[in-house]
Amino acid sequence: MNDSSFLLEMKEIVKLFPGVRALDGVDFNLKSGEVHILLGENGAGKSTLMKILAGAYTPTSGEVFIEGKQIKQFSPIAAQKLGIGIIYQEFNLVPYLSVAENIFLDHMPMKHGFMVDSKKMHLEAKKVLQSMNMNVDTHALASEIPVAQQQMVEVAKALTHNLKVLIMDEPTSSLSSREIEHLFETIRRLKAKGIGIIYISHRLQEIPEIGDRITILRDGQFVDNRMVKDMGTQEMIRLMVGREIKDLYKRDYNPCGELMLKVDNLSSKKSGLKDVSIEVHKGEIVGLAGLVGAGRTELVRAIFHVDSFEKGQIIFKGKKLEKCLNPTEVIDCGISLIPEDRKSQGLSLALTVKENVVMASLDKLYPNKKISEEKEKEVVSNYVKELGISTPSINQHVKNLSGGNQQKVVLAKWLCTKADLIIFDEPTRGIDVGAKGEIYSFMNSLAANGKAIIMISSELPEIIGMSDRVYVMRDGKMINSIDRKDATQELILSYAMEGGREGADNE
Amino acid sequence: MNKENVKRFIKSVPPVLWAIIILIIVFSNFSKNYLTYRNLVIILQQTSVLLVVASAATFVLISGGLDLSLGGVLTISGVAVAFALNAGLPIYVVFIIGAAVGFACGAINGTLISYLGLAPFIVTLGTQGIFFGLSLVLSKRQGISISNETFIKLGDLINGKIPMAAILCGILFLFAIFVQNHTRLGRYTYAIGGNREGSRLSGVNTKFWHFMVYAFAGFLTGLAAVILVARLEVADPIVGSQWEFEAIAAAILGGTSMDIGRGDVKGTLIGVLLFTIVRSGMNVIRVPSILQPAILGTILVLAIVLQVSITNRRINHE
Repeated sequence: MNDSSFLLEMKEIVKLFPGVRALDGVDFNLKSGEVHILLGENGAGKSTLMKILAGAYTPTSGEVFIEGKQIKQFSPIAAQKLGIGIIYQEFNLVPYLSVAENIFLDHMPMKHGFMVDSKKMHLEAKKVLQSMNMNVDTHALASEIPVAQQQMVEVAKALTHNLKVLIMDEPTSSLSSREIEHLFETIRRLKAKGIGIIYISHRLQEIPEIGDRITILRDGQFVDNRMVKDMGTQEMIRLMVGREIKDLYKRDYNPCGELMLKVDNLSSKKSGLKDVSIEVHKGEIVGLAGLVGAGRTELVRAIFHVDSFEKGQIIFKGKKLEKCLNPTEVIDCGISLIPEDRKSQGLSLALTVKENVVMASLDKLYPNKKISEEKEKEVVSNYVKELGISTPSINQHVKNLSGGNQQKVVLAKWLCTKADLIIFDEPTRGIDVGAKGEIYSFMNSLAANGKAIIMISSELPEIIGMSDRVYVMRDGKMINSIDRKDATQELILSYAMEGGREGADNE
Repeated sequence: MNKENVKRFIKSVPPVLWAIIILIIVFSNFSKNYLTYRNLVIILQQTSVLLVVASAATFVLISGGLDLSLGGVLTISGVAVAFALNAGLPIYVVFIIGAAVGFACGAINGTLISYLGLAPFIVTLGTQGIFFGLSLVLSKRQGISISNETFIKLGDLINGKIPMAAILCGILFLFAIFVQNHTRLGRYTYAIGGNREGSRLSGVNTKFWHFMVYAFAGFLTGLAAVILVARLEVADPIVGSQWEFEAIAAAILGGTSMDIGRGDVKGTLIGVLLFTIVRSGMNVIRVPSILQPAILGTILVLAIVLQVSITNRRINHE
């Protein structure tokens, strides 16, 4: 009945959740030794499909075959026995266990029947890591090693089972360019061993580099399956969203106005900033580029007075911001920081849309301390409309919204404070193309209305597409500032990377 | 030793240990008898059972849970032990009965929490009441005294020199360290507390091991009950009240965290020591007994503030 030349075949998969048809008859297959890209907007059903494969969910109907044999029982343990490994987007290691213990978490080598054989476990772990060209201390706690290494530990963990299929869900979303290169090397090595890899990513530019074949899902349905080389980026986007996004990045470049923020020779030992200077004008979007750890987040945290600094000054709207201010006072001055991690820093997931939106501006909305339901409703409803937040009501709990809509709630929360300078830290991480476009056009209209914007981003197309000017940082230092007319990915990277060009004549 | 080494040494000592050292110096200034072998041994005898119960609590806390029923488990296991002894059963059987009753109590908690997914706070608050209540009913609200001489020796201070209860509890404590460091149960306690969903998706049978954490805590507490009864020579139906709080406080003082799967049984020893020294010291300097709980509570809170602030500073420093 089924074509056994496939390593994996999923047929007519349907998955129903209460009130939602998450998957609607999806077909998917995988050959050994190929990297199969799975593409789709958030909510398209990619993760659900992969969770079925990994045994976290049981399909409502449909059939799954591995090497021609049908899978009858869906559980993480059964999937592992069949050689299916998955690296989830979220951190899936145990923070206070060692690297070796994490790698062998579900099958630690034992001696005398009841004791964990630590010596053998560390030895074996070292072997696996070495086979991946990784040099990690197997005794280090998982919480102590960098994110990129944590991911490699997850790959190693999958390898210790007789791995046939490896699923990677957005593996590069928190890696720097160099770490991504390292990950791709590992993927190529796994490919050469005949392992089939399913790769989920929102970063379109990396697909031609790593992918062989591509399957696109939309709204829980199969859309297309082709070789990667036969499909351009524009077409991928069109198939994903069902409409053509001609220009994802919308910018009307206005002549920028007066100076809004001036940072002079800022230095901080604790956050590793060295003599950083930056200027932002009214109506301007300034991009902050650099590798992970270059000091971009540290700089905006210092501007926001979350972290202290020893030297230098910050002048906002012609007034010096004293060192001793706290973030609340900085917000009152008119600066907003939209943090990188919306789940832990941007939102209270257990509260409603309404409560989240007004949270940072209660004093402004209600100067006499009494909260008025009606005013709250009016204010929040306006933002929901303006930003196009799709939520059944403003009383919906934020945790039930999709990533893109959550990010819009964070936006609304900070817009509500009526800030003049808005700092975005990775504003579109992990959200789908449609929502990205909406956030970009919203940033554009903020700039057009005379706000000043600083945007930190690791996605170079986003930096180039949105910024009037790009500042490049490396090792806590400001390397250079590039005008949008001259900004190219190559130029930015050459400044951002060690051994690249040194900062030439600034401006 | 150069300056760096001294600094590193000072940093490597848990902050609570400093508090302990300072308190010992203060108390020994008040009474010449404080730092004598005899006095120290008596103190050890009195608090060694708490060390075992606190070790049990440590496992539960690391797994991200809470067990308020441990005092109840201690009590009902003790009552069972007394019945077994007075029925003339051999001592090794009495140990098995204590452990089995404790394990069964823990298994009830584990089933409700892990398999039925109920909140540990509510479940163990409820079972605490059940275990105490049953103890009262079974003992008819009276202490059951023990007459088996050999058994009483197991909890005795033999010749005023050999603290049997402390030695037996020490063995149980070493056993708890062994389980934590060298068995799957130990590792999975961290796995469940640190990342339960991640561990489940990695193929770990988290439901079973989560259940086992509570069952094991009950098992240890059941054994502790045997020693407690031997030391007190009576199974008192209200003896275990408040034990769970002291056990949990000692574990937290020892550096165990309730929400991120961090800590260890070794640290709990330090927490128990602090408790013990403060309590014995208050008697030495003749603090009126009605003031003692308030002072003990104050010191507890201060110690935890110290612990947390120093740990945080260290983490930020790194």
